[in-house]
Amino acid sequence: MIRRITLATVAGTALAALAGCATSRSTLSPAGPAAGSISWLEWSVLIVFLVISFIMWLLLLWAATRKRGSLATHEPWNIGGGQSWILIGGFAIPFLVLSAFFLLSTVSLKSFPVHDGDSMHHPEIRVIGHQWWWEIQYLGHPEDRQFTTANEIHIPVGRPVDIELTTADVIHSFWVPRLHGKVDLIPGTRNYIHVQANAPGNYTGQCGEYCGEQHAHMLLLVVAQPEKDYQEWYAQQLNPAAMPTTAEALHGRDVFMGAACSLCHQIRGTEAHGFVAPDLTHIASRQNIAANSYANNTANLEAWVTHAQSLKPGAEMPNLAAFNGTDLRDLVAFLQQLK
Amino acid sequence: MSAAVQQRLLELWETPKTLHGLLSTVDHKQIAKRYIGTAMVFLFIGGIEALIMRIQLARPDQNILGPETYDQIFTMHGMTMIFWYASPILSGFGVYLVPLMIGSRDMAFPRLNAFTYWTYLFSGILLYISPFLGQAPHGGWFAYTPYTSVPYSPGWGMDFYNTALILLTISTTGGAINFIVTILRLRAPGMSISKMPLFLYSTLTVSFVTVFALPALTVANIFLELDRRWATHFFDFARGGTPLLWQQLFWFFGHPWVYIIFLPATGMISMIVPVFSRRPIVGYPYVAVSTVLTGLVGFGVWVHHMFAVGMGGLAMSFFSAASMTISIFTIVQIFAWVATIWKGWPVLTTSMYFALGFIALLVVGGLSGVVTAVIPVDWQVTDTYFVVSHIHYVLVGANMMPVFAALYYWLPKMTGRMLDEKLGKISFWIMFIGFNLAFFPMHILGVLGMPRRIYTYKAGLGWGSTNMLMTVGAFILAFGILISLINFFRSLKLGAIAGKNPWNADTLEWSTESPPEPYGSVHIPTVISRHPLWDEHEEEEDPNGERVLDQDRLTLSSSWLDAEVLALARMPNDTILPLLLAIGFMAIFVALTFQSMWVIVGALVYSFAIAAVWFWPKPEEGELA
Repeated sequence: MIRRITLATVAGTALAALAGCATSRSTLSPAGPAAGSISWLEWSVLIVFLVISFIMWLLLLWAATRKRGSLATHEPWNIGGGQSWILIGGFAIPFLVLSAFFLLSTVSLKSFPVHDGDSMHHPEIRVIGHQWWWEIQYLGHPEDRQFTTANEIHIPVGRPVDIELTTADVIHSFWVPRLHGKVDLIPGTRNYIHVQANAPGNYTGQCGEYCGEQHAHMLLLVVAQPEKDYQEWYAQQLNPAAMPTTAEALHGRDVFMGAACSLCHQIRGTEAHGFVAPDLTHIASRQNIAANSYANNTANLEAWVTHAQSLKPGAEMPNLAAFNGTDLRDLVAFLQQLK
Repeated sequence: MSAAVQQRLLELWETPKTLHGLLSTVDHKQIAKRYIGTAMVFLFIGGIEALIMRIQLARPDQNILGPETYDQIFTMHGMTMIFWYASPILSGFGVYLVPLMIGSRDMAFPRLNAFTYWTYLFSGILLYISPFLGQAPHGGWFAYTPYTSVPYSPGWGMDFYNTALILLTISTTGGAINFIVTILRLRAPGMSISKMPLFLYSTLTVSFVTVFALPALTVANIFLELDRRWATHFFDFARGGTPLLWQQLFWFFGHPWVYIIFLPATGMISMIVPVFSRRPIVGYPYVAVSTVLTGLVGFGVWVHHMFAVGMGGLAMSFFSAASMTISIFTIVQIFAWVATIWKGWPVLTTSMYFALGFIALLVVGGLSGVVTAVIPVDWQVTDTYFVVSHIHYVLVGANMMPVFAALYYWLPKMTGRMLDEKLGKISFWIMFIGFNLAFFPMHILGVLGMPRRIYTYKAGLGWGSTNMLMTVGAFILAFGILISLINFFRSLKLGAIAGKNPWNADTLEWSTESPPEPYGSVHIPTVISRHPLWDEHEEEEDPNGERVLDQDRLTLSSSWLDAEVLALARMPNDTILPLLLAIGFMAIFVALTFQSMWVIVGALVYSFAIAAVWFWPKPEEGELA
């Protein structure tokens, strides 16, 4: 009885963990049709995997313990028999199980328009991988409906969004477990993915292909919003940067433009036109910094400016320890009003 | 008469126990022990690297290792275990056992055998120079371009990766050719291809696979090194190359390689399970054919490593189907073993424990492999800890477990001393429990979305306690391995005397002394069945002394299908030339790593000179042939 309760508790905990909570990245708590159909398939193979493993362990234990031999004797060298084990257990049953899985796999493959060539696609978003952050281009029409942001993708709820994937340097992989499986970002290649979220919310992803020192801190955030909120966000992102109004922010802006920052970062509507680092035009509207490694708040922004190499060793962002006191405070104030 | 004959054979075959003798021996038994010993050292090093990684990952947000150090360690762990432990340890058992199992006096090419050992050792040393320069490879054992090209990996690390691997492929290819010729040409009279021990089927199969698969790796390494230091652009998209070419080449080699480090282990199990079930294996032809088919179909599954790169559904489905097909050949073998145990009379020795443990882990690893063959599921679990779990169930389960079964089974033959059974079983249970604690939870973490190859992870994702559990499991596993090592060293002095055939086993290696004399058996045996020591035929029956061959270093050469005697083969004497040539090769590849042209030229000239001496025709040796 106690044993059963313990087992039930363990199983319950495991299931709860798999089903996942809000911060989950579980592949078994899908939030969109693609991940949904995969998770159904995944559950069924995982269950078969566990059940057959269990049966085989029992069979092995039974076979090994039901009789006892001795080294002194052995069966005649020419004894036969036992072939039916191989024909039934080795061929027939696995053939049926594997055929079923192959059919399921092939049929479900049709519902993923990921890999069906370039011509059919009209991507709304282009994601470009960088060591170690994500450049996000919204490809609206006409051209004045286009803008660039970083690390945080907003999508409208309830309809598929066609995303084009490529990379500026090494191979990365686009992976938001609750929405879709991995699709690689490969130099010189364009891959496509249809992402759809059924409910509003934040869905965390992470680079799925080893890409160097900070592979561990190359996170991605997909924010699914109702269509109206999404359109508002879109319109807001199209705007050039907000003009600083306070004295601190004005001073902070001078600090930014006077230092090396503007060589790498872009802030639309200012003279900062760097293109090797994340676009900061609306940095204050994003939830996190450093490819979603740290929450976007004053302390983290200050730490990131002065000690990026401690927070994310190897990243392109240098330690700008020369900033301190008023300069640092005002610089961060400037960034924080870039809503 | 017999004593005098033995004395004469001993004088012909024995290597003097001097320094020169040590460096110049071509005795397959001595070389094999070096292979096994060296591979165990690499297992130890790779194990330490694994434990360091597990400490770093035990808790979230740890900073015991920096990212670059962590990347170097996981790369070195993978390379060490896959290239310098898993395959060489099986070569070691093969070099020891194949000649004894077929009743030959040595491998077909004893000097090549010495040469491949030395190059294996030197390639490992070359690889392990790199961490002492602080520049170990950091691109993973799979080394995907363009990350491993100079712009993203400017140090020497990936150059060491290339040169050490190319040197190793020379060694491995030479070894494979040696196995092929030995097994096809030196079998005892009467051991037709249908009477070969199953271990020979697996060794023969993987040797052929090696010869056809390994060039893809060599080519990939050469292309990458040319790209890195010699201004070519094979993988450079911006200059017309293609990064995916690396993946195709690497996995065209890489997946057959999985079977190279797996099949010989199944061959060992096919020897051990019947002996401890006290009956011949059930379905010998099925196992033999499955082994060969695994090797063949193994060439058609490599793309399942690349399901996420973006390719057509038809292509992916083909490789998914092939991957599922190949699992049937393994399942056939599993059921042959289970049926053998079921129909037989199991004797649960430590070796049998490890064999059973192997089957248990292989079932889990094989089935989790089927999970990843379902393409959409693979998109989710690929590059997560689910795959880390899968690879360790099949590589630790299907390589290390059989290796330990083989150590407990065959070490008494090699040392003449039995290992302690009680200590062995304790070691087994600790290893088995530790292994499952360390690796089973990885399935769950993978499904929960934890990617591989990350040096740390955030708190609050619910991964922390599972990781801690796995770290504890890893240390338990390491402790279990340590007990077996202690058991081994203890047995050398304190172990019971083994005698010729302590397990009352059925194959020819057990008809020799333990440890075997340098020449093997006095009379080259003859064979009439698959179980020479269990049938009524007397293998060494040779009243006229026709198969003593005590005129010179000689052995019998036979036809490849029916093993009918063809000729006498003259075997070479001990020589230091293989070592000298291996030193030349080492010099070439060290110099290549650093592009020192003059050293390369010098080492090439030196190597050509040594090879010329080695291959110079020696007329006096021709007389006997």
